[in-house]
Amino acid sequence: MSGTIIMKCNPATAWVFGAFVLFFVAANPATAQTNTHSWIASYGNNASDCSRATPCADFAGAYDKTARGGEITCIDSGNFFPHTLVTRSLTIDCSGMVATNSSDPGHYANFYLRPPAGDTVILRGITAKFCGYEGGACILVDGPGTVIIDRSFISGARPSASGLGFGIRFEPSGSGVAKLVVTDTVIADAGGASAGAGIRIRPQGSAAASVTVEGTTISGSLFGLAVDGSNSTGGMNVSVKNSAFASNINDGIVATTSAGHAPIGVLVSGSASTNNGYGIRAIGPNVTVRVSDSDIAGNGTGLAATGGGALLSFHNNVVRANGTNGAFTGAEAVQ
Amino acid sequence: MRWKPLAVSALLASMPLLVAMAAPAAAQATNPHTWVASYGNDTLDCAYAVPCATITYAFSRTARGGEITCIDSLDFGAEAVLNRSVTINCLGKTASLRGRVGAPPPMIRIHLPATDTVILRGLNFEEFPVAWFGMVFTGAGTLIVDRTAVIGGSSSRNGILFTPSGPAKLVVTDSIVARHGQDGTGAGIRVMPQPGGTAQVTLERTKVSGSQFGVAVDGSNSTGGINVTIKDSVLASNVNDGVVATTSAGHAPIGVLVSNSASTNNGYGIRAIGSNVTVRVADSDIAGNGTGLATASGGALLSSGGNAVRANGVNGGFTGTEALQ
Repeated sequence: MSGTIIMKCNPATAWVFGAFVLFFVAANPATAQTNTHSWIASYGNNASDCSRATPCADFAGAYDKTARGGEITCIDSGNFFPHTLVTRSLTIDCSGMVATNSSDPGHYANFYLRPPAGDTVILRGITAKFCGYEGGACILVDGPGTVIIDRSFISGARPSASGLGFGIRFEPSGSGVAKLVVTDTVIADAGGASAGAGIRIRPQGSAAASVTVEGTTISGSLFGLAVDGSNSTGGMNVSVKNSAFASNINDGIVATTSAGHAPIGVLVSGSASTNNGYGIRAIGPNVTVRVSDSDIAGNGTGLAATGGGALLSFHNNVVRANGTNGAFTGAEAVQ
Repeated sequence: MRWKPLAVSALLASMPLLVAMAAPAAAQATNPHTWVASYGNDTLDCAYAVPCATITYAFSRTARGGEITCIDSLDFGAEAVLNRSVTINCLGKTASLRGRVGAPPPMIRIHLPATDTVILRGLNFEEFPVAWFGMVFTGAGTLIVDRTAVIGGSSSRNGILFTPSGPAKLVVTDSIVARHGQDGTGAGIRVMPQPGGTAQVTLERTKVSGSQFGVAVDGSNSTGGINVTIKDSVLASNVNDGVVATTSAGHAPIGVLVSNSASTNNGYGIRAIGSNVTVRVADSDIAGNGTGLATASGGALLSSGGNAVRANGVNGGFTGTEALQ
């Protein structure tokens, strides 16, 4: 690619390009991460350049050749093993394809994302299945950057080895506010026998997190959405909009922290938490869960707050037909 | 060229031996991921490179908890019985299961232990011309249906017939269910647990239309209780009820919540029949029906507010209200 550019340039420009290429190669002796757009296909080969004409075989192969901020696209459906640690801005878009990623022993997560602060990883149209042996997650995030997941399908995070099973395991570390946005995504059947959730938010150390979940369904899992501040101090804001949490064994939505640890604010709006063990639960001091225009029905217990957790209503929720309806601890006015 | 037939026949002659040797391993159904394709063949192992042709065969080669995926668009057979966890994911393809002439119902039967989950995603159930049902759920466990079309034919009874005999969960999201039932019976989605069965049902962003009944919830065959939530959904132009819940004395109590949904242009918008039936309605539209709201035999039909009940032949009324919280 650079050779072509050099041939078309005048000698002076060619020298500049040549020097640049030399520098780049020196800096990245293993692979040239230069593609702005890489492609993968069922018939691909990781020895190729991941161009549209000669695609690579999987996400790991394509990632090695894709520039920071670049994109990987699926040409067709296939079993594209990811198994790569993503440490820079990247978009993976397999919309319209069934680009399935089946994990296997020896790998930490189907997608292991560690975006540095300032970087953004976007996963779109992803199918993740058979997730997480050691890491117990389909998508594991432990960097302080931003992760956006759109129109994806994540199921079967039920590992046999670790007992953990998370659809999305968001555990950012470092300073600053890590960001997660999940839209129009289906997460199902996540959780091991003792631990696991469709989405678990659990920052580490001083890291803070802001999370938005929109148009997303989490069902048939151990927990639906679990927000846990007990391993961090930085604080979390979680907004859940137009989403459904259905038939999870424990909580549809639970937020918990412990004294001296991260404060948590959750807003549930226009959503339903139905047929779970608990509809919505707030546990611990410094936990505030606000609920607006949402339905809490058919759960073992609809609403519960313990350990000083606050569960606040905007007076526009349906809380009915639960084994025990429970109650909000307070109310706030809609403005 | 003349030697080719000989070589091929020699190869073919050796094939049965190979197949016979390979069969015991394949029969263990250990593949975590199998594939079906329009050019597939049901004597293969359903790998991506050598896909199979039908769901039934692919399922027989798929490990519990595994996945079956469509490589391309196709009609990939029917009459599968799914008795362990599996995902069938054909999103992005037009992957149709067609009712076969002379075939008994259903197209897919799900019969699970309580711990298992079947996920069906991006499928087209085409019951025309003869199939009676799209999906029939018996047993226990969880069925999750996403972005799926269940279309009935001239012989259709029910699109999704959910008749568990143990604790069972049904979640339907972003799906279309249409043209089911005939001669006054049959529904797009019929929830009717059997003795020993309970049902948790959630419908989200799902459209049920053009059927005899839209969503019919029936507790008369069980005692264990039924919870149904219908959210952000549309029940339109069904001959009888958009939503009906009915049970009989001594049988399963039913709780239905209809929220931010529309039941329009049906015979009845929403109907609650029987003393153990409570249907709650919030932020929903009941319009253009013969009768908007109706109750019988002690059924409760409660408004949580925010409902538009207008332009029905008879609007009817709620039996009570409940405060939002």
